[in-house]
Amino acid sequence: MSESLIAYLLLSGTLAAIGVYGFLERRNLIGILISIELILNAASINFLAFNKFVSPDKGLGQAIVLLIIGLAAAEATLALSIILVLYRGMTSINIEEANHLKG
Amino acid sequence: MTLQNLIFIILSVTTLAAAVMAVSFKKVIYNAFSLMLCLGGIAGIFFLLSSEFLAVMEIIVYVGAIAIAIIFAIMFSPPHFMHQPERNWPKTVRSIAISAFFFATLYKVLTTTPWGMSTTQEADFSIQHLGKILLGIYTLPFEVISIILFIAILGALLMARKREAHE
Repeated sequence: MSESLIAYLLLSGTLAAIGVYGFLERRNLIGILISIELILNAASINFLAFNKFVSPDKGLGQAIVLLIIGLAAAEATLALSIILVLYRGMTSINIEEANHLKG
Repeated sequence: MTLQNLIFIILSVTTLAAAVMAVSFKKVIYNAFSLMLCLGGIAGIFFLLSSEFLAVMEIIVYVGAIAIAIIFAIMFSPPHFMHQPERNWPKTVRSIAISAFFFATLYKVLTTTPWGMSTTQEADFSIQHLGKILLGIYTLPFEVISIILFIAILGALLMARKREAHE
């Protein structure tokens, strides 16, 4: 099982589905950020599984996952600063009330 | 059942259970701690996929930096999370339906596609090879990532700064 591609792909698919569920269901911005991290990690597992079982060059998938980790770090810092500014300016963390830009 | 299979099953069950906890608990701090457990499990999965360097990076960057930053953000923010809104059941059911559809589509695609397996005998998973291709063929993505990180950090600092005058 640990040597079959499909087991890893199903694991990452389940993880991505859990992330999508959290992204749609949570009304808390930090909860949404956590769901995005889950989806990004599912993508990383996918890349590494294909890297091990399909790709002829075993360094390429690792390089892509390194880039994903860097992007996730950048995204997390930006999202957290936006969340802190929102928390400072609003009285609630329910994102359904953060609609001042709706026009 | 070999030892590797046992480790894989334990790691996947831990990861998935922690992921479910990370999206289902109503208190945000529990979500953050479950996320840390989930990321640890994913690092173990990376280890099983023979990418030891990435497993270590996952622990350092995700568990050590991102999860800690999330926990800091929770602790710095005013305690609005003490009064949680009630669960919106129609929305929950809709979200479960959409994510189940998403998973069903993925499952169909994954199980019906014939994946061409790699046949190369000598597999070079080493950090030396990774560094060579990252600074050789794929220099452009590497530089782009460094610029993105720089701009993101600048933007985060600029945005989180206390405003002087109005507001």
